[in-house]
Amino acid sequence: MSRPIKSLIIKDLKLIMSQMRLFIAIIIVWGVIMMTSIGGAFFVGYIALMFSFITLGTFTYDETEKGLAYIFTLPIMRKDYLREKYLLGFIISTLPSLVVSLISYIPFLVAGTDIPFLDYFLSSIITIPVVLFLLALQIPLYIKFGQEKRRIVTIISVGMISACLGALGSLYEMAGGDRMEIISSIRGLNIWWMTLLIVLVTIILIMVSYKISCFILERKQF
Amino acid sequence: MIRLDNIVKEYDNFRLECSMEVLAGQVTGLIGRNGAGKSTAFKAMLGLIAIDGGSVTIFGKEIGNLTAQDREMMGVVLADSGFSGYLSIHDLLPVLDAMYKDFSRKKFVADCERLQLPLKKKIKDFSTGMRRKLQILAALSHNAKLLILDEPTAGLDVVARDELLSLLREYMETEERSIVISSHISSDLEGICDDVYMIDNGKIMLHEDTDVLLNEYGLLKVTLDQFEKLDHRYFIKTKKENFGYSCLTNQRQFYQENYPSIIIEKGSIDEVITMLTV
Repeated sequence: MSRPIKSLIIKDLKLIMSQMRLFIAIIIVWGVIMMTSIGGAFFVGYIALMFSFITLGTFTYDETEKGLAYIFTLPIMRKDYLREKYLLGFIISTLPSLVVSLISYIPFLVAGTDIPFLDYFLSSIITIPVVLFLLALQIPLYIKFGQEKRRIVTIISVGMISACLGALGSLYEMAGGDRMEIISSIRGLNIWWMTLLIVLVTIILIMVSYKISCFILERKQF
Repeated sequence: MIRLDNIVKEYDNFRLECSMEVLAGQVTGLIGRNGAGKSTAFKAMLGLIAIDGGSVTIFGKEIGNLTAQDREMMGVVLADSGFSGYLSIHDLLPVLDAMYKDFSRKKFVADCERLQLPLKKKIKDFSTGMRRKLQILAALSHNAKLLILDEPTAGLDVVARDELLSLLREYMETEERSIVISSHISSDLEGICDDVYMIDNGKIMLHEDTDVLLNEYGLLKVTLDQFEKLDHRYFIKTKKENFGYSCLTNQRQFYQENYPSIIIEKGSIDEVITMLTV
């Protein structure tokens, strides 16, 4: 890991540890309640989503009192900054979720369940790519609009994406296709293919998101 | 070390147009009133804003081509931003350690203690002066070749300003280091700079060696009668006053020798900038 990225990771972890202790404690308490009442798979998704918010929170801390300008006077290139944020987002959303997924299987193991471990593990962590996708959508918006305006833009962009997908579906149907057929064929995939498909789509989306973020940040003035 | 070559930056109601050079082994000052363009010039120097014309080179490289390794040789203080207020100095130690190859943790901590900066208190709870001291110590902590200091003395009391200037003099004891420093407090710059640029309304009004400015510039205060009899060749600027005229010259000795009866004040950055910007 390069020195700039390592130093930024340490900075963000220090910020998280000093500022977000309460937030992390709340996530864990809620998580325990949900794990006992709802079940492991949902809980893993919940953990991944909540921890992805923590990554986004570090943008806010960087922005405070024009801190981002100061960061870019240090030996940190703008691409380093973005690489660190994507890496932090990946680590913070993924690692706790994986740990939780493993831990949440213990009760099944103790009870002597016949659910295969890999099936359980894959079905519980399948929400992680979805969370990473949401993170990939949010980061460029944070970079472009900052904390405040980003909220409005998120609502608008989610609405636009939904409208576009709806429109594409309608066009496909007008051309004689059947959108339910596509959904059924995706549903028909076994869990391995489904996981592979989701992971691939997520990787592509993260790469596109990173490129867009680079484009925005390289042109940003402070 | 730094070269700004005819750089232009345009905003809706402000235009910066300037050229300046910071040589190795020198302390160069940039002085001007609030809003004169000092911070904009510094931001252009640091690549924080895109310029509309001209070029900026640091260590002989275009600013856009500087690598993280090049930037390790720079220490920066910005007028209006710094480390996240949610961190403490104690939190910053491993960050700076990871960031700079030559970070001297021991010296940095010792300097912080010497300047009475609390290591475990959050930076957001620091006074303005304490924040400024921290930024300066961080800039000095990693054996940088070049310091770029935008208003480092702003918000500091007299004692803290003296401490800071001593630190900078100590820093310059090693050869081939340079500092570019801005301030609106002229006495800070008079004591430390080798040369000074004066900026007003986005333009460099004057560039002069500090010694020349202090030893050869002068302000003549003359009545209307005296003014008419004076040789006007060496006047840089004249200003109508209640008593007659104030005249800025860079040939103080000439007037002292040839017009011994007139009042001539020794040159100072304050007087020069006041005269040049009216």
